[in-house]
Amino acid sequence: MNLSFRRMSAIVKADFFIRFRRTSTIVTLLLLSLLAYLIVPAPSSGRALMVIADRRALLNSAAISVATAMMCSMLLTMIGFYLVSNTLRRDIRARTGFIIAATSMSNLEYLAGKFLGNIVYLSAITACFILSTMVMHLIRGEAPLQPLVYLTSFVAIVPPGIVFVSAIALLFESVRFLSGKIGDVLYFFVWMGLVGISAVIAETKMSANFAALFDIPGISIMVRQVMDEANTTHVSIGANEFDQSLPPYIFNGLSFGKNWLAIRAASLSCALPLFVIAFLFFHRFDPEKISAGEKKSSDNIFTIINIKLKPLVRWLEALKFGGSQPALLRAIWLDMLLTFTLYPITLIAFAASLVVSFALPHSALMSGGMPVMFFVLVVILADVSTREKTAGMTSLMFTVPSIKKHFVWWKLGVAVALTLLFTAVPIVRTIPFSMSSALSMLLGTILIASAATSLGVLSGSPKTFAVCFLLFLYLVLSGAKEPAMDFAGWYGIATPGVQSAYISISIVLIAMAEIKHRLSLR
Amino acid sequence: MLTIQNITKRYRSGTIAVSDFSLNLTHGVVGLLGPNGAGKTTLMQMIATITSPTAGQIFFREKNIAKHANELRSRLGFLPQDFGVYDNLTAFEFLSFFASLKGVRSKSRVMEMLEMVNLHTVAHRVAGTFSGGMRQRLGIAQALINGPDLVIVDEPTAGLDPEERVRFRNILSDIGAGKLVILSTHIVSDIESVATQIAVMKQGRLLGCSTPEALLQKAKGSVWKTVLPSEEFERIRTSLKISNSVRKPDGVHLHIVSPTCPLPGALPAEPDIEDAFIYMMNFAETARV
Repeated sequence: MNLSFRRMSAIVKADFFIRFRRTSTIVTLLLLSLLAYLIVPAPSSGRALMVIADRRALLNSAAISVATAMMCSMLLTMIGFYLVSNTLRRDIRARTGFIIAATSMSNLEYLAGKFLGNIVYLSAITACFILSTMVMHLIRGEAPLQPLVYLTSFVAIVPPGIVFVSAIALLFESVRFLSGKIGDVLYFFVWMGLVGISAVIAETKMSANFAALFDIPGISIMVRQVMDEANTTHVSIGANEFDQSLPPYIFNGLSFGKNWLAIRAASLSCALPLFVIAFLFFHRFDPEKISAGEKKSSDNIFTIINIKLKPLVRWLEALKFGGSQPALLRAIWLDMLLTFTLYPITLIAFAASLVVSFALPHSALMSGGMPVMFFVLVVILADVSTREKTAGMTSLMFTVPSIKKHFVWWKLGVAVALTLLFTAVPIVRTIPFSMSSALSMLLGTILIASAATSLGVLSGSPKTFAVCFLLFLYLVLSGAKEPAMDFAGWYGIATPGVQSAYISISIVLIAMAEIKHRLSLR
Repeated sequence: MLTIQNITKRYRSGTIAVSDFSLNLTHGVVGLLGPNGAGKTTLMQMIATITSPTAGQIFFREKNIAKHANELRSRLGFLPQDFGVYDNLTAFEFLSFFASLKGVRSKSRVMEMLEMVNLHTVAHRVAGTFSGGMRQRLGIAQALINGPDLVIVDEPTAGLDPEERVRFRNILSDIGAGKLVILSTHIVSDIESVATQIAVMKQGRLLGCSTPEALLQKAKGSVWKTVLPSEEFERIRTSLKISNSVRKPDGVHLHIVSPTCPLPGALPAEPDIEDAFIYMMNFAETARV
């Protein structure tokens, strides 16, 4: 075994142990198991994992493996990025990067090790998902379990996504402009683009052509083949409704011909240019090339903009009242002002939201303005409940009256107050049109604030909330306009049942955060 | 072993961290002494090839490290300032990781180093649970695992309790023989017992580099002792360079650094390294930067 190989395998091994001993990995694995449970519904539920021309596909190894492999590929290209996009940052923060830079290891060895480490980790996550779906097969399957069929389906569909994410995560970390919070948000749009490309390729029947090479999640070629085999244009994956009067469709699996394998192998190569760019931009931990923001909070471009905008928020000092107000209320007010002081760009976003809220016609405000505001709010709220932990100031904050005992309520209060700054005017404008929609908007305000607080407290990382809520917003905006998806009254079709469900979710989220907080105080 | 020739480091912001710095070092423990912001860390990072000088050159065994970085890197052990650990790795896993990166193949070497820094009993405990002193000892173990000829340790005792500081100093003293150890600090007591040479930095420049004895000789005649009532001490404390003050029943016993007699009744005193450092920082010919 030569030295380069030993170095790379040491990085892969260390990254694997570090990641698999994290709470977030355990949470991810539990969520994947839950996902396997949800997406493989019992036929008696009236929903099916795969619906082909209104007929449910029989739950055999071919149907379950292909459908779950496709969903795994889609999710992994999104969540996978957030799971692995901190590998260089970890070395910067622990300052072990300086030690690494002072060894004779080359940049290529280091980055290749990190790249392989990402691949190994995501592959391990995938393997756990395969096992979960096999367990579901044993519970709900309608044909014998064929492990080789599972293996073939996953190997044919998932690897390009894993390799792509492993490379692009390194690229985002290596390029100063893309690292940190702005990169996290930007990648979400990259992922939407990936899924969009897949959908376009599937719809335009380009799946056998050169274009299919860019279908990283592998949706188009899979869907196209199922459509051709069943001679239909209607194929849906997930827990979908089907016509119970029709007999089940027996799906025999995909035929992985030479063409398919060539396209998927070629898709793997899409990661190569990303790795090359990462290599070219890699800073080798030179303090001059690592921004001050990255060393501490990983904000960089945000940090630069916020520093430039600092003069805009100096007047906020005058608003820091003290004395007679209840301690918790004062703490909420001060933390809200702190958000503006830390990120003056938030003040500009707030001013823009006011202009939009007053200037747009109500219908445009609901269909366009509000979704944009919620995307902005995801960025603003993401670190509200985690910034003390990130800055190592939790113990210090706990010495402030009321904070230790009411930490969750404090952060919830701040998140609600910040969200209301953006949503209050739209809510008031909605009242004359529909009281129910206005109520939904208020409940949506509480939901986003509760999610930000709870997921931050539970995971200790701002990423968890950002990823989960961005994915939720994507599902809300990309799916059909169903009442169940109208969480914030944008469509005006939420029923009382839906409203009750969302407020219940908010309550559960906050209860979970409160329990976690109390346990951590013991 | 190490020759530093007129190196300067100017950051993009225009800040000059190190200015026209030259030094020639052979072996032993070299204490790099200077206040916070003197440029010690930047100098260390340039020697460790982490960042490049804006001007000047550094030679390791007659080879320019800008062109032959790996010549130095393969013989280097480096412990950066504020060194952290991967919380989820055990001490053994952590050290094995760096051993592999540095091309060390022997697993027994890992345990040998853990024994040297007295962490062998907690080898399989995750490093995230370690105290600051234990982390620093793990840090020095990784710096030494490849048997380096040049060891650079940057502010290694920051945040350590007195017992850990002594333990750390002893480790450095033990490894100094036959190697070149560069130890940066702003705390004089960290180096006074172990350094064979002391280099003093101020505002990016080298004020002087000599043996502790020569440094003490420079300050001779410029150190004074006196005893003052508390009230008078409070009155003069900011106007004089006081290197040491101890409250006793008869008043405050002071060591004052001054080229001339600072107070009536003050008597000449034997300088210690702290006095010499203050003398270098304030009164030496080179201190006028």
